[in-house]
Amino acid sequence: MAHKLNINPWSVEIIGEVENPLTLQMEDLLKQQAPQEFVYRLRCVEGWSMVVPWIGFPLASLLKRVKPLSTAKFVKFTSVHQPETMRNRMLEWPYVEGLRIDEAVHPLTILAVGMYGEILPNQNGAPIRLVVPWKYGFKSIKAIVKIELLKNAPTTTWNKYAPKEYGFYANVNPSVPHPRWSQFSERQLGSRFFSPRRQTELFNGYGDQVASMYKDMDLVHFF
Amino acid sequence: MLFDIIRETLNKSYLGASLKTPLLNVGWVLLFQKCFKLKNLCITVSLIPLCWIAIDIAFDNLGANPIQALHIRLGDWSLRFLCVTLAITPIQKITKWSGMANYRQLFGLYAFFYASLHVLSYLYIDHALAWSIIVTDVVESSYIWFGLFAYIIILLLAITSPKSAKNIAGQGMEKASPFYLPSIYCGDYSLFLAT
Repeated sequence: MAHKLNINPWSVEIIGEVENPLTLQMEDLLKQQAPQEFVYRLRCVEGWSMVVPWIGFPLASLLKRVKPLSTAKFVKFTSVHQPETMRNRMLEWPYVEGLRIDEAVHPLTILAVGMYGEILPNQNGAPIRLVVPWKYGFKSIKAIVKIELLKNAPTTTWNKYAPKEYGFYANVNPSVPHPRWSQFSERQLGSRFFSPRRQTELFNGYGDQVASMYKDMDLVHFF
Repeated sequence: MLFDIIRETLNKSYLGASLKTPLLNVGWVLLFQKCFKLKNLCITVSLIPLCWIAIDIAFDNLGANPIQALHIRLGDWSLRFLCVTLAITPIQKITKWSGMANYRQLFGLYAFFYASLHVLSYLYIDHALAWSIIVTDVVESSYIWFGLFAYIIILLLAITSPKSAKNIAGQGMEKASPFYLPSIYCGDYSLFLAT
């Protein structure tokens, strides 16, 4: 029940393989970063997509402040854990997601604090969430309280729940179907009845910017 | 087929038998009895889910992904009617009330009706008959295989449902109703895989 989520006060801890670990109050974090608008297509693993104008800042600019060590190869994100406001018992809480360090510092990867010119509503990940536009939506973790830089890949929530269905990379890829459904097309939210589905693009259409990070990888194996 | 049912209902409804000896021989009582004959009532009530969905479409009440919501709701109603259809034989055995056999066909046909709308909504409302995408979608989505298999079974049951078809196919078709069971298994499994 997202509307019950208590988001005030809020702080984000940035720790792990860094020179300068930090715990930032939300207010201070917002003062240091200059939020901009980023218009991205969000593609859900369940076959819908939507263009969203986010307000946020590149994750890289926050990570720069903590000075990652050369041993930092992965970034682990942890969501808030408020059992009293969370009813879903299917997944193990808190929700955890992760990125490779090069993905995390990619200029397209942002932390969003608002959307449509407003602050983030609770159900969309208030007060601060990740947005990685070339990956399926479940990678874009909501309500972040902890960012850890790690030597090894973290175990992530959906990957732990169903490792054959939800890979660590989860790059949008129309030619790698989910084991139970096709990823070839997507329903654009807001489109009319009787309008055809959109053909899904590799890396959700952001291939020009991100494909080089995966050029030596088998995208079927590392799905 | 629906007209067959309605005609059949009017001709030999169980409660209709009471029409021959009405308590009060007044026109409106007859009319009231006719309107509230159990089978007519079933036919009408079974259309309520469709009206409900239509109202939700009209008032934009289907949530953020209305096409998916519509598709799922039609499929759910088909499965519910299949459950009702399957429940009739056991209920008949338990209650020893034989008056329900005709309702099995009625609800079975409604399950087919909602399943057909479910399939049409997939092909036409969601995919706008874009066959190249549909073919890939069906080939790559295992949950659709089970749904499709369930639909083929219920389609065959519906085609062989009218008396004339049963006469052509012979008495064997009378025993077709057990095939509702695999249909509901496949339908349920399709839903399970899709969620």
